Amino acid sequence: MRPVGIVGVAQTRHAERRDDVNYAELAFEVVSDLLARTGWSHDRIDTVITASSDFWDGRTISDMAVQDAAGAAGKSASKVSMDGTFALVYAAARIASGAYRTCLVVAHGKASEGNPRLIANAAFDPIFQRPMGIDDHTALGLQARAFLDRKGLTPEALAEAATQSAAAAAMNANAHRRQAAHVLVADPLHEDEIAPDSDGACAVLLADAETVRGEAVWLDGFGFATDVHGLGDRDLGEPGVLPQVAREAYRRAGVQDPDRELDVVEVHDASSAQTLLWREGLGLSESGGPAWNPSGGAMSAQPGFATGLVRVAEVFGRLARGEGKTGLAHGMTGFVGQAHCAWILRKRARA
Amino acid sequence: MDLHDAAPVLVEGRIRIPYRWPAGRAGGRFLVLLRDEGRLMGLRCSRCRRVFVPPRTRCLSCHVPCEEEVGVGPEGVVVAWTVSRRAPPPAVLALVRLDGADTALLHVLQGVEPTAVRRGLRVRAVLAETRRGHITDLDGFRPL
Repeated sequence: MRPVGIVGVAQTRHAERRDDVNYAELAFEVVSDLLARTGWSHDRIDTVITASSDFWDGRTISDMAVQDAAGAAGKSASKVSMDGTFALVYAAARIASGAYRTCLVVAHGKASEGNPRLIANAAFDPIFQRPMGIDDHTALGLQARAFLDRKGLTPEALAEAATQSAAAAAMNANAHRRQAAHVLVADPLHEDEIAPDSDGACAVLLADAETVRGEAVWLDGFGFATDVHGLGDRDLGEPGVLPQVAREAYRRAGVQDPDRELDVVEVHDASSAQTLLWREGLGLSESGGPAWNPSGGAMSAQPGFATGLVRVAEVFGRLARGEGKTGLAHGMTGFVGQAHCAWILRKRARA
Repeated sequence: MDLHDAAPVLVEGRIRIPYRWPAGRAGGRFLVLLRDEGRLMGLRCSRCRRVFVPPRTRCLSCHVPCEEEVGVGPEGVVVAWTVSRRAPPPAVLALVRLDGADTALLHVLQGVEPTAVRRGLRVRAVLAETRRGHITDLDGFRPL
């Protein structure tokens, strides 16, 4: 495969409500910021992949309404209705194939426009599960309970993990500043142990080795797998397909010992139970090892399908600033981790 | 005129679209048996012998047909639970693995305080008095 490098990234300041813009304007905002940061003009972009959800946007084929805002008019553009980390797989494949030299990935989420709990309910099977009133928060509650039971932990472990994420988020200028109380929402999860519903967007610009010159951040490996769909079809307290996804990413990137070789890890944790569960799934020790979710992870902001791509942007930012050489960015689709994607980013000279 | 200073205009809307969802061959059989005979069933994989409830026509791991019908329940165990506190009264949602099944059914627990629910709690299916071929033909599960 041809190597794929990252030219630059941008993300919005994530917020409770961005009533001042519609979602196309939000995408334009983040793409304009990316072009300004990299000094690129949009005519240098060969192809565009967007990530969005029709239900969240309240519009079918929602990518059609965001493509011109992403600068895709007259270009080949496609969409992934999954997290932005999965869009990155398609984007990287376009460059690795040699068919394109540059590719822009744009993901957005505007939770404030709809009703996130009703939309989540509509993601479940309409015959057996949806009539039970299940949504993302109650699914996360089932998972958190199963996780605590498997590990023999008390709910204090969830509070402690949430406190650590909140402390990290307080240092993150792009974090969604929210008022979350320590009240039960979906036992054993409290409101402040569940990631917020955010408005935000993220953009990542990829290019081939002839375009990305000198020392840069490269996409050195990825893993990607989906699990069974039904909530009762697997043990929700286990990390599911994530260990397999991590092994695949480590193998592709030549990472032997993730605790020692990774400098930074960012995960999409929709609850503080997932903060702990995904750490285990990535094969990392419970303490020590790489900087863990230094942005606050998804607990700092959860703008729909942009959430995982924001993890890529965070890891890129740290590597570009010299805070380490190798990092892992994780994204997920499905509220309790049905599908996982992991990317290994490495700062190094051109291959 | 500075566009950045404009007060936001919000247009209220709602998408209301009727659907007809086939329960499928396996789901349909489950719902008919529940409605007409008050019994619960699953389908067994011909290769790994796992029993799926809700029933599926294909094994989730072997990807071969599941055609052998197996009676399951009406008792089972709670494998995970949560309490939905969005609207009162709180509803206890649980994943219940019925006796004879290998996967768990999502439903509500009746007649139990949230503090009394535990992993492994034995429960029994409660049938609704009038049944119409719907998952709510089960009223839920009660602790034994």
